[in-house]
Amino acid sequence: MVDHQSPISQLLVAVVDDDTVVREGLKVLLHPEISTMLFSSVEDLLRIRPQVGVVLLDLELVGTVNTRQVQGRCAVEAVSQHWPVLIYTNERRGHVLASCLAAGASGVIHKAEGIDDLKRAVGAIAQGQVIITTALAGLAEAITRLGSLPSLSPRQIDVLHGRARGEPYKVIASRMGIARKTAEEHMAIVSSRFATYLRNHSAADLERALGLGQGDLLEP
Amino acid sequence: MALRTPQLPTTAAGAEICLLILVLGQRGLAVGQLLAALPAALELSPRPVLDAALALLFVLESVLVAILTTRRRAYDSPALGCLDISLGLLVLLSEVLVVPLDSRFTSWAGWAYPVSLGAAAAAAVAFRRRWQVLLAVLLLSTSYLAVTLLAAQTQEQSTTAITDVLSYPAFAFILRGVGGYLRRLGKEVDAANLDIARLATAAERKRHRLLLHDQASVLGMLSQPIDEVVAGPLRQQAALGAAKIRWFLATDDEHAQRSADTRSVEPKVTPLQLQAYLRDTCEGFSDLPLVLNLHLVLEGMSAQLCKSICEALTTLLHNVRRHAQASEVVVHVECLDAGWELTVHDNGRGFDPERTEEGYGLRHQVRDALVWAGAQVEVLSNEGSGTTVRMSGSRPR
Repeated sequence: MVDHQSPISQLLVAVVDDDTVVREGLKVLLHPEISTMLFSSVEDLLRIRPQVGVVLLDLELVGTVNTRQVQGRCAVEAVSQHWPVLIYTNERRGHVLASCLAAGASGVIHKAEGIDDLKRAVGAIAQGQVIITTALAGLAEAITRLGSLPSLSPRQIDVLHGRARGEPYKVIASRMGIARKTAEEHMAIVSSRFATYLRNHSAADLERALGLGQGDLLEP
Repeated sequence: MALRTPQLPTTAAGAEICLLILVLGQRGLAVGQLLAALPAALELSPRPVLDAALALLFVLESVLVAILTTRRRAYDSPALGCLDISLGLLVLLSEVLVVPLDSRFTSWAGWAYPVSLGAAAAAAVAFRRRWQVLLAVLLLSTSYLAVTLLAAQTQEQSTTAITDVLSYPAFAFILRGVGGYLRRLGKEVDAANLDIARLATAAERKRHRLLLHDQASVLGMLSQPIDEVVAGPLRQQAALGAAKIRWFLATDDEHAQRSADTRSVEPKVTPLQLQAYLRDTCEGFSDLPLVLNLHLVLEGMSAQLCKSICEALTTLLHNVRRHAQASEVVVHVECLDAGWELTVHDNGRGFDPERTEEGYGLRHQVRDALVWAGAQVEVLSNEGSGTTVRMSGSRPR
């Protein structure tokens, strides 16, 4: 159903956002490289079940009608069963985003990121990669430092170290004396292992690993 | 009603008064002894009228010197020194006329010797040049020897004359040494007091600037049209700043110092407390697109270091708000066994550190504020590529 090897130029993406301006805006901005199908709710998406390569999903889906809509972690769980999900959000809290990754999302990107970054992220998700934000990189760094993440190479740790501090890939690559693309590839591996860790461990495991109290990190 | 000791204007003035007390004290003693011995001296004198006149001249000159120097609060006039030396020489040389030969040795009939010793002491204090003092001592010594040694009839009298003449340089040397030391001490203490006053003024000004720098930033932004998203946190910070300024205005220096001392002995801050303080600091900047990565705050630190770090972070976030125009601001803190590190990175417009001088906030409220903790502060920025400020240090035990 989903072609994970689709080059970006042939990619069809489902945009799920209750904000009309965002939906219509993305349709224009992602064109022509990425074709879009627009949905205002997860329910609509699941009812129609389009053949898309990636679902670009907002976490907060309130809508205009006074009915309870599926959103947040529940939306991620429902959608990720059928398509790779790239969370497109303003949410910056690490624990919320970790919860989404644990629920099955393939990546997170902020709405403040540039359109080119969004296109690249969509393409990476379509190719089976995991994309994480700075907040999640911070969490991944902590898990790695505490020895809970499967061993990463020193270079991967170095790239993660920079990303957790918000450094752009250009700066990280320059510091390490590698190409930017190589730095991105290192981070892709780290992100993938981190996402696997989140999916294979409970919230309590993560909280224990970070020495936090119950319920401090991941919301149910 | 208790007598109040008048305050000395300077320590140097106090040193002069000490020396004046020494000289006048010795002079007063000489006058007292002379008046007590004068009746007997006049009986022995071959020219009692002249002897009495010289004694009176000495007393009157002593009173004049006492009045003038007391008004001046110092015995530092070379003119008065010359007057004393001249009178000393006069009474010494007059001994050939008014004192019989056998009374010139160890007798108050020959009163010129003890009073001229006072002149040698006074010269050591009044004259600033060494050669002036040496000349005075030489003249007095020579005059004394001329009057006594030439008149000595026995070996014992010669010995007495020679041993007595040594008192002139001795008095001069001792008074010169003590006087010189006291004057130098007074000068250095006054210079140190001036430095302290200057430093205190500078420290006060620095306190004012530290208090007002961040508030000026907040007020500046509030005076411009701003988005409601930004206005909320800004108003909270303005309220907090107003409270700080009110406290500063209402508190005297002693109370402020007591408060600072109390804060400096607060117990250690735990990792969770440190995370909470950092979050509270960032709470005032909720208008910024902040990402807080605090998961590596795994050790505690001293309350003082925590306070300094949070204040530095506040300044850095003020700078980001004012200058950066960033779409993401990352605050990453780690506190581990080896040490601590706080990094603030924004993806805003950056600047050229080579061409842009560091502002007051970065220089004083970040770098200088963390000097005591031995912290390093590194600023990395490029125009168009954002800014990273990294602070790091060890954890004081």
